[in-house]
Amino acid sequence: MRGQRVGIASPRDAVEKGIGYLSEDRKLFGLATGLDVRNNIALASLSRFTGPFGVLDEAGMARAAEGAIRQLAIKTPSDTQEARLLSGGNQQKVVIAKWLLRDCDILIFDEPTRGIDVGAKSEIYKLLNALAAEGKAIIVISSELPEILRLSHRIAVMCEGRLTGILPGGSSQEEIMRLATMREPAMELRHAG
Amino acid sequence: MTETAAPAPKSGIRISGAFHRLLAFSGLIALVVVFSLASPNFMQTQNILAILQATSVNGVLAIAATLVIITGGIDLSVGTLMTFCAVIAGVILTYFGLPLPLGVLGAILAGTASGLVSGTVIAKLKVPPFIATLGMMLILKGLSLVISGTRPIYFNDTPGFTQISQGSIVGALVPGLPIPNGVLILFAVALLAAFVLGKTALGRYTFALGSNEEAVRLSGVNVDRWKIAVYATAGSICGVAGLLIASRLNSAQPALGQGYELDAIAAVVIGGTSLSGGRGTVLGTLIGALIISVLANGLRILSVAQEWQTVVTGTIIILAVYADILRRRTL
Repeated sequence: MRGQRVGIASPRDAVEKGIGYLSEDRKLFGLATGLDVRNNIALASLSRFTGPFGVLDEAGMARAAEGAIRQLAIKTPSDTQEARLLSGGNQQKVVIAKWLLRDCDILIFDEPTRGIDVGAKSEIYKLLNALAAEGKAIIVISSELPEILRLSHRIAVMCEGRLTGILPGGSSQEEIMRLATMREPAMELRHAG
Repeated sequence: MTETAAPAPKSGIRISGAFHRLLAFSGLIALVVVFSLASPNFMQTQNILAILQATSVNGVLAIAATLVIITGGIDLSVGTLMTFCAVIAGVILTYFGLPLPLGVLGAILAGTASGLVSGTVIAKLKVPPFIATLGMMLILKGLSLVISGTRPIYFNDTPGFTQISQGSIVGALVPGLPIPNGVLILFAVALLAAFVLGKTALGRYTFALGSNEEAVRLSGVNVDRWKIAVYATAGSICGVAGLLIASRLNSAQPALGQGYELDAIAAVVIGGTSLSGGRGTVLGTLIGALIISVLANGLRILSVAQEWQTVVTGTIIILAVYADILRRRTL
C-alpha cells in the first residue's frame, strides 16, 4: 500500500488502514438489515460521531447520510428507512456509502452487481469509474467477463486459488480464459530408482 | 422514555414494534380493568404502590436482560448475580462495617465484574451466551453460598439500608404521595437504560450486533469490546437489583436468586423484545414486568391459588413470542 509492504491481521486492521470490503452476500455480510439507512452508512464511522459520555451526534449522522444519499443517488424515502426494504442495487450503494464515509482509499468489491437489475448495474459501473477517477484504488472481484472487460485497467486472473497472470485492460476474452483455466500440471509418477 | 425504540424509529420498525408494545400495553390495561371490576381492593393507592414496589426488582433485572437480549444473546445469570451482589454488599457493610456508599459501590462493581467475565467468555472464548451465562449462574450461586457461609447476612448494623428501597424521598417531599424509593430507582434505571440504548454509541452497537454481528465486524468495529461492554453494563444493573432486594429484605439471602432470571426474561419477551436480537425497548420491558406483577397481585386479591399464576404467565409468554413471530412473518 502506498509503496510499502503492509500486513493485515483482521477486518478491523484492514479498515483502519483504509481498506473497505463489499462482500458478495450483502445481506449476510454487508448490511445490518435491522437498522435503517442512516445507521448502516454510519456503521464504520460511529467513533467519529461519538461525543462525551458516548452520546451520538444524531444530527451529524443524519447530515452525512443525506449527503451520501444525494451523492450516490440512493433511492430511499428517507435516511430512516429500514435498509432491508431497499432494492439490491440501492442496498449496495448504502454499503458503498459506508466505506466512503470512512474515507477508505482502497475498495474491494466482491461480485458487486450480482442479483442487481440492468439499470442499477450501469449505475454501479458509473460509480466505480467515478471512484477510480477520484484516485481510489478499486479492486473488483467478478466472474462476469463482460463486466471485467468493461471496467478494468488491469485484470488479475486466478485459477483454483492461484494468481495465474495479470493482463492489461482491453485484453481479449481468449487470453483471460486461457489464464483462468490454467490448472496445475498433473503429478508426474516417479519411478523407483 | 419515548426514545426507547430502535434507532431512528420513524418507519417500518416503529409500526410493528410499537404495535407489539401497544398490544402489551392494552393487555396491561385489560388486566387492570378486569381486576378492578373483580375486586374493590385492587385500585387502592396502597395496592398500586405495592404492585409497583413488587415490580422494582424484577423490572431492574429485566432491563439488564433487555440489553443483552437485544444483542442477540441472553443472560441466565441475572438472578444469581443479583444475589451475589447483595452478598457482597453484606460483606462490605456488615462483615467489614464500612460506610453505606462503599457497600452500594461494591455491589454494583461486583455486578460489573461478573458481566465482564461473562462477556469475555462469550466474546473471546466464543462460548454461546446460553451456556456461558448458565455456567456463570451456577458459579455465582455457589460463590454466594460460600462467601456467606450459607447463612443470610443481615443489615441491622447499617441503619438506612432499608431506606434504599423502602424509604420514600418523594413521600418526604410530597406528603400523600408515598412512592417507595425502590420504584424511583426502577424508573431511574429505566430512563438511563433507554438513554443508553437510544442515544449512545453503546446502544447503537447493541442493536447493530443483534441485527447483523458479522456486518458489524467487517465494518471494522471491535465487536468483542462492545459485546463485553453490554454484558458488563447489564451486570452493573444486576448489582442495583441486588441492592434493592437486600434492602427490601434487610438481608442478603444467598439461597435466593435462581428463578428470577426466568421472570426477567419473561418480562422482556412479553414486552415485545425479540429473542433473535436487533430490536427491543425498555418501555416494553417495563410493561412486561408490570403485567407479571399485576397478574400476581390481582390473582392473589381474588384468592386464586398462587399456582395458577405461573400457568397464566407461561401462557402469556408463549402468546407474546408467537405475536413476535407473526410480526416477523409480515416483514
